[in-house]
Amino acid sequence: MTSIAAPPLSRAHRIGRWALQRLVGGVVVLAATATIVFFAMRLIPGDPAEAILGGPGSQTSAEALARVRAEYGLDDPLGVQYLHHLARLATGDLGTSYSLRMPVADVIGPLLVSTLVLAFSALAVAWALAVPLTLFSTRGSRVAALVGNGLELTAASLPHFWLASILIVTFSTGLGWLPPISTGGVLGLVLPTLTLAIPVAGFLAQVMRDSLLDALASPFVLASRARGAGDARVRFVHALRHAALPGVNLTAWAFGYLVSGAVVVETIFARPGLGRSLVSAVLDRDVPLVTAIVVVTAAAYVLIMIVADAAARIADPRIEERA
Amino acid sequence: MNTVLTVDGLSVDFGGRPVVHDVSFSLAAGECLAVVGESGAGKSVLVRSLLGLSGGTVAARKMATPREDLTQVSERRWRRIRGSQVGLILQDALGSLDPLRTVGREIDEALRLQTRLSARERRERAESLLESVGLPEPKLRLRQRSGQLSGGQRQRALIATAIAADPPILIADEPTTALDVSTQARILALLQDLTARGTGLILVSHDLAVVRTIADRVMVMDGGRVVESGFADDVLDHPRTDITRTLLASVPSSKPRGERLLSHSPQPLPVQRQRTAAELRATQISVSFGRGTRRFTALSDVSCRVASGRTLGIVGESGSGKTTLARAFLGLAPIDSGSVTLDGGAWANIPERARRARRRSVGYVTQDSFASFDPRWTVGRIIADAVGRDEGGTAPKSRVAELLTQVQLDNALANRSPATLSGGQRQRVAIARALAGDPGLLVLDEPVSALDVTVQAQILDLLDDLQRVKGLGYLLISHDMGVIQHMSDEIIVLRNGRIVEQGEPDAVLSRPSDPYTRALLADTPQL
Repeated sequence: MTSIAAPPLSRAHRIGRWALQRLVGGVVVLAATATIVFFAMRLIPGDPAEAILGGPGSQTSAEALARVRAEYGLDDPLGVQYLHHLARLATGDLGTSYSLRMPVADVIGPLLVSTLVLAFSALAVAWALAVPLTLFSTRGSRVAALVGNGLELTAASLPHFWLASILIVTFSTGLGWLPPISTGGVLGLVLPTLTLAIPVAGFLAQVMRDSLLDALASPFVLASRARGAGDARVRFVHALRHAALPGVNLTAWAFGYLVSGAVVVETIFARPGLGRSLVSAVLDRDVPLVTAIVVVTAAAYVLIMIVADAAARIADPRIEERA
Repeated sequence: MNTVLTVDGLSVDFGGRPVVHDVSFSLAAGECLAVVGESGAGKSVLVRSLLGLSGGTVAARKMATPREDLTQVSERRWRRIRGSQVGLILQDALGSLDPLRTVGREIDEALRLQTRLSARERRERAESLLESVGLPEPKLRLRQRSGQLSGGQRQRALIATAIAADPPILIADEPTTALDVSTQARILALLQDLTARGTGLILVSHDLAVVRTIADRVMVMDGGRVVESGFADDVLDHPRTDITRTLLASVPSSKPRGERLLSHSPQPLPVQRQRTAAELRATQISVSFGRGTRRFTALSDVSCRVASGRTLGIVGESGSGKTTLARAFLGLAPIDSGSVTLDGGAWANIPERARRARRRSVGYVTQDSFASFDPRWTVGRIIADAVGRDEGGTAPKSRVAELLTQVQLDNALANRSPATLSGGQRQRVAIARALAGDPGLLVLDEPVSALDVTVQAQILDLLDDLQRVKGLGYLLISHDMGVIQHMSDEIIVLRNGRIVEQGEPDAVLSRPSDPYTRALLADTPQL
């Protein structure tokens, strides 16, 4: 049904409305995350006051426990504690780590940077691998399609721990080019990045190949050839942009995949980061640290979603018209 | 007359399979040569080989413009010829303009590749091109993408990209097939304009009425060969081959209501079931969508009825409310006011539960039947699904066979996937499915619009036969005046959701009272 709609909103108006919707949505997601984390941590058996005083094994007096409970507000009703928790987070106060006895913000700042560097470099490398692979596998020859398809499938199905081991054996133990432990510096970043990037590149190449083939078979490509466009122009100017659309949408998902993958990869390469710290914080029942890591990760995810959505809208202006 | 293209003994084959065989013709400046024939006759492959884009192996004794021998051309050289010496306009303008790029950039591509103009000169040239193809507000259009334009605007923009570098030869492959008649008439006038300015035009079409309107010469193809060619009037008035005669007979407006288009269509079996009378009646219905400032009235104050044995034809351009009317008759669109009744009982705005038992008395056939099939199901399962389980003792399998016979399809097709069927066969399956509930009425929404003329004629003959033996009532929607005229007992002309004309076909067509109907008839090409 074609409808004669009311006069369309101005572009600035539409962008403003979109941004507002996204921001409100993001805040709701973060509040929900903070709520779930708060109650989930209560479900773990044991006394948080004991954890603060050094864990169940330590011999603590009843007075010390009572003092800690009063100090941390653990005597208040659950509802009051929950509201305090939300209010603190809302003001940006992440609290003090139980186990490390220092402000949580100071603990996770460097870890966050380290994990984000890993995730973003993996994302960049995944795209850098996926685009040439897509272009190669759609060259039109049967062999290229078969090889490309095989590479994509293999890459997408490689488990991180196995891929990491193979990379270490090859490039560290065997060739000695790169360090097996990632403690800092660019060289140390290479292997963890590749470990995370290769499977994502496989996924990206798979979705992009399908839409690239669709685009290459479409009438607008024939029309462009009929204007005298050559193969390179048809691919790079017309078809590749269509192929990138599902890739852009997949990228937001891939970011979540990369952060969860970081837990494994950071452990294998002994690389400091959020993933590894989350594991130890949960084991220590360090409520503020766990809360902060989860909420910060969620915030990063929300942000990436907004960026990916904006990128999709720039790449495909039709989305805005449909809204 | 100066010749702009000479072709002698042109053949194209794909891996040893010949698709075009020994075709010869010439094209003069300012001349329009029409290539006609059914799908698969090799028309598109033939014209694309003139751009080096056929995809097959091309061989010719001669294929040349006055400046160049096109049989001895490298791919690199072809890229200079395309756009500057031969332009191509494709059928589907929505798909033929890159949906992610603006019209301005698409035109700019042609200019950038084929001229030495500066960026500024290209922008000015793009603007004047849009003006010359009759697109108002060219500055705005240059910044829009194909999805933001109407069908006619899009086709004009596409023509602008094809003539950007001023090629002396222009190929138009079904340039008006997807357009409604008024837009089609304006696009044809634009193409005539181009030939008047000296462009040699090769028009590929299966619509002989369109061909009659603008072609100087006609070349009829069948199975990759030219079977007949000559001046348009000679070929169309005095056809010498059966192929041409069939094409001409297939044009719906060539025969009055009730007369078969194709004499050799097989006769259907006499059908035993005779259904009781059925009637769908709409009384002063209005339908609107959206709310507030975005409220849009799709139908207002429409009254009409569909009854057994009769066909109500609905005609109007896109967006006139035809499909909304069909949906109201199917009980799928809630109506704002008025009433729709089936055999006297309430039909609209009642709970679906109250409608479900009577749903089987109204069948539905869509334009794109293939999209309405589950692609993983066989034809038999698609039809059996509509037959249902409580078929009064008749086992579904024999019922499916019976339905396939009614639509003149072989029973063996029951095990095939719809993807392996031709367009005409798919439409027959859709009709068989619509008949599964043994309905008294069928709602046919553009049932033949996606088909070739000859296939269209076969389907129209089938619908006619079914109506005669089963006493079916049809609500027939079409944008093609010829189809409506050939099939209908009563015609409604819709415009912006209102009935502007209603009556017997002869009265409406010979003495249209509304200016819009007169314009619609004037725009309809006549054979």
